[in-house]
Order: sequence, then structure tokens, then C-alpha cells
Amino acid sequence: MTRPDIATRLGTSIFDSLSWMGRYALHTWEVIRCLWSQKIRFRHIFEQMYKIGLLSLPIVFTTLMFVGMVFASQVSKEFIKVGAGKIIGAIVGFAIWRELGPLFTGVVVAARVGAAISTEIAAMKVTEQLDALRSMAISPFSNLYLPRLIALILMMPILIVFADGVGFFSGMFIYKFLFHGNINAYMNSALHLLNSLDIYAGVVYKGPVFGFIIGSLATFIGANTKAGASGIGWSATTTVVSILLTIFIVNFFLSYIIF
Amino acid sequence: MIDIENLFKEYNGQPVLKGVNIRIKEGRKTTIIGSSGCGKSTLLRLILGLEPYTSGEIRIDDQPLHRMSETQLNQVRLKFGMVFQSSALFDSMTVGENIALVLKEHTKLTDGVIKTKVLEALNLVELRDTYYLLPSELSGGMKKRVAFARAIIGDPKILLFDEPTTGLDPITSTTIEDLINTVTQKVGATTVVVTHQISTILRTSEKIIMIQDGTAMKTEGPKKIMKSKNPLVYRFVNGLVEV
Ligand SMILES: Nc1ncnc2c1ncn2[C@@H]1O[C@H](COP(=O)(O)OP(=O)(O)OP(=O)(O)O)[C@@H](O)[C@H]1O
Ligand SMILES: [Mg+2]
Repeated sequence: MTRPDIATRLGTSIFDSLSWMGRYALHTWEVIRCLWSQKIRFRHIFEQMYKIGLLSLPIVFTTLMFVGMVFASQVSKEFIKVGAGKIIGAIVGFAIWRELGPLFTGVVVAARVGAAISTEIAAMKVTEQLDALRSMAISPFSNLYLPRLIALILMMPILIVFADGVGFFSGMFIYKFLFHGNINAYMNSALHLLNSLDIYAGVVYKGPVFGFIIGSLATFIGANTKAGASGIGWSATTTVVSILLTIFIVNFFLSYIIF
Repeated sequence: MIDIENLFKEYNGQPVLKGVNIRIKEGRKTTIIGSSGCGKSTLLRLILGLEPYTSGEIRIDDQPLHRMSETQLNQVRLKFGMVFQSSALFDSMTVGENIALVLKEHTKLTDGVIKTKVLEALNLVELRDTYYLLPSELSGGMKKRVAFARAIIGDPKILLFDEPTTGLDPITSTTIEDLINTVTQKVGATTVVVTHQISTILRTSEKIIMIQDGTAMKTEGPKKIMKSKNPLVYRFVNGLVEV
């Protein structure tokens, strides 16, 4: 490959990604602007919240149960060996509430709900349903994208509270039944060593931010899918990959700032 | 009135429309013909402001679409009803909800009144029993007819039909052609029909325009088009391969 070739390709791909970012920002701004420029569809929002909860609860439950269990069992094994069995409840609580609960909920919702929203909108795009909406002077931004975005921002904290509980208590279950630990000791160490920020930061700060990332990226990528059936598959993969990357990166900075 | 002046449209540098000039007067029925891929659907999409054009101008009732915001475009779009080539029914909604949507969004009619109107419209296209069905439960031709009902439900001033009779049996096709004529007469609507179907060309048009090489070409009216003096038009309507 010759030099100008590399330069051109690099230039094109930088230009491409910049233009995608610009369009993403514009899309997201357009969605948010509906909050005051358009009628807010509360019914659509509730429908979406219900759908998101229904889609996510079973796999959030299963995922966090096993995450809590594997974490508690590994920690218990090592901590009991060095005589630190008393603080296992706090360690599990720390990990789950601060990081594992919010993060794994984000991953699961990205894969389940993010992909579903993106392919739903992509399918509407390639079958001209989005154009049909616009031709009727009905904005997809206020009717489709905004309700999904808001529903995700509201549902993520709720799902994280649920995930945290499942993770923490499945850890307790392992601690008691596999390692013959004491439930009171588990609870007490968590109560004494965790402060309230440890518990609510994941829910109150990370939840809505992750919901925003999932909702805005899923609707953006779905709406910008190119025609053809392969476009729908592309939108699902692209959505999940970009949401996961964004969530992991943003999570690092959030944790760094908050704690 | 739809006024199209020197309209250019390109996709990724590939020109599709290269200086189209069309004037469609109020209350007239215009048919657009042209070979597959020549840009007929594109032209309809541009008239609705669904995509920006490269240059030139489209005016709807003297309002230029160029540089209009989406909100301003929505005001203009309220004048239109459109049947998409792919029907484009909302597949998460029932047939009834599909047709009712425009009225629910843009009028203050009660649910009862809307339902009556929707059933009337379904009656017109002979699909009374499909009210509670989902689009996925319909055949292609049934979808076309639902799309037709959905387009006319709000009595729009301008109706755009992208191949409304393609894929319909000859009798249903005639029904739709008659409906295009009666609906147009009833509300004095302006109609633009894109079609390949000879019966539709002959029954529903007052003026026929052929898109050829990215430009619009006037042809003889429906009475004489089958014997057109223009060899391109003659070959097209008679389905003759170039000799
Ligand atoms: N979104 C798009 N991106 C790129 N090219 C497009 C796009 N839409 C249409 N085209 C191209 O524009 C040309 C005209 O397409 P259009 O759908 O308007 O044709 P048509 O006249 O309606 O054809 P048909 O009779 O088959 O429906 C085609 O060559 C098509 O490949
Ligand atoms: Mg077409």
C-alpha cells in the first residue's frame, strides 16, 4: 500500500467517524428538544417502561444471581482462609452496589432492549414506515424516540435496584449454604462498612446515564440504518457494540468522579 | 398546486433527476410513468419533503420546500395523503389503528366518530372484516388497499399514489381506479399517480408525464397515448423492446 493511500483512508475514516458523532449529537438534541417543543406522549412512555421491564427483568435476575453467586463464592473462599470471613457481606455489597449491579444491568439491557429498539426502528426505516409517519406530519422523534429514551432513563435505576438486591442476596445465599457463614454477620458487615453513597450512587447517577446512552444510541443507529435486510442485522450489532463500549468507558469516569 | 422547477436530485453523486419541470394544477389528475428506477418514487418523496433535493425548487401552493424546517414541512404535509409503493403500514398497529392514526393525531374527533369513518373507508376498499387484523395477516394487495384507505381518510387536498394498483387483480384494480376518480371528485383533490399499469394510466389520468433520463416529458393525454407519436412513449406503453 502506498503512502497517499493510507493517508486518504485514514482521512476518510476520521471524517466518517466525526460525521457520525455529529449526526448522533444532532439526533440526540432533536430528541431532547421534543420535551418542550412537542406534546409529550405519556401513554407511549408507560408502554415502553412496561415493555422494557418485561424484557429485562428475567435476564437481569438470572445474570445478577450468578454474578452475585460467583463473586461471593470466590471472595468467601479466599477471605475465610485468612480469617476475614466477617467482612464478606461488605465486600460483596461494595462490588455489587458500586459496580457489578449497574454495569451488568447496563450490559443486559443493552443486549436485550437496546438491540430490540434499534432493530424495531431499523425495520420501520427500511420498510418506509418512518417516512409514512413523517408524511402524516407525525414526528418519529416525539412519537418513537423520546418515549423510548425517557422510559430507559426511568427504568434503568429501577432495574439496578432490583439487580443490586438479587446480586447481594444471592451472594448471601452462597455464603450461608456453601460456606456455612452467618447471615447476621453478612448483613452487619454490609450495614456498617457501606455508606449511603455506595448504595445510591449506582442507582441515582449511573442508572439514568446508562439509560440515556442506551436509548439515544439505539434510536440513532436504528434510524440511520441503510435499506435492505442486512441493514437490520447491522443495526443490532452496531447498537450493542457501541453501547457496551460507551457504557464501560463512561462507567470508569463516573466511578472515578463519584467515589 | 405543485410547481416543480429544474429539480435535481442525486444519491451519493449519482444523479437521478436532472432538471425536472412539472406543473400540476389544482384538482387535476396527473399520471407519472417511466421505466423502473428512473426516479418516480424519488420524485414523490421529494414532493413530500421527506428528503432534501440537490438543487431546483418545489413549491406547494407557492410555498418553496427548500430550507423549510421539519415543523414547517409538517404544516405542508397536512395537505397530503400518500400511498407508498411498499404500502408502509405500521406493523405494530392493527388495520383500524393504521387508518385512524391521522385523525387521532390531527383532529379533535371522538373515538366513536373516528371508528365510523375508518369503517366507512374500509368499506370503500372492500375490506370491512380486517379492522382488527394486523398488517402481517394481510396479502400484498390487501395492504395496498388499506394504505389507500389510510391515505384518503383525512380528505387531503393532494393525493400521491405510488403504484396503487400494482399487484391487484383486474377487478380490484378497477375498483381502486374508480375510487381514485370518485375521491378526487368528491373533495376536488389533486392527484398524482405513479403507475406502470396501462388500465390505471388510461382510467385515472387527465395528463400523463413520462420521466426519461432524469427529465420530465409531456405526452399525449390518455386518449391518444397508446398511439403516441413519440417513439419513446409509444414503446413504453406498448411494452416494446428497442429494435
Ligand atoms: N436512498 C437511496 N440511496 C441511494 N440511491 C437511491 C435511494 N433511493 C433511490 N435511489 C436510486 O434512485 C433511483 C430511482 O429510484 P426510485 O425508487 O425513485 O425509482 P422508481 O422510478 O420509483 O422505480 P420503480 O418503478 O422500480 O419503483 C434508483 O436508481 C435507485 O437506485
Ligand atoms: Mg418506485
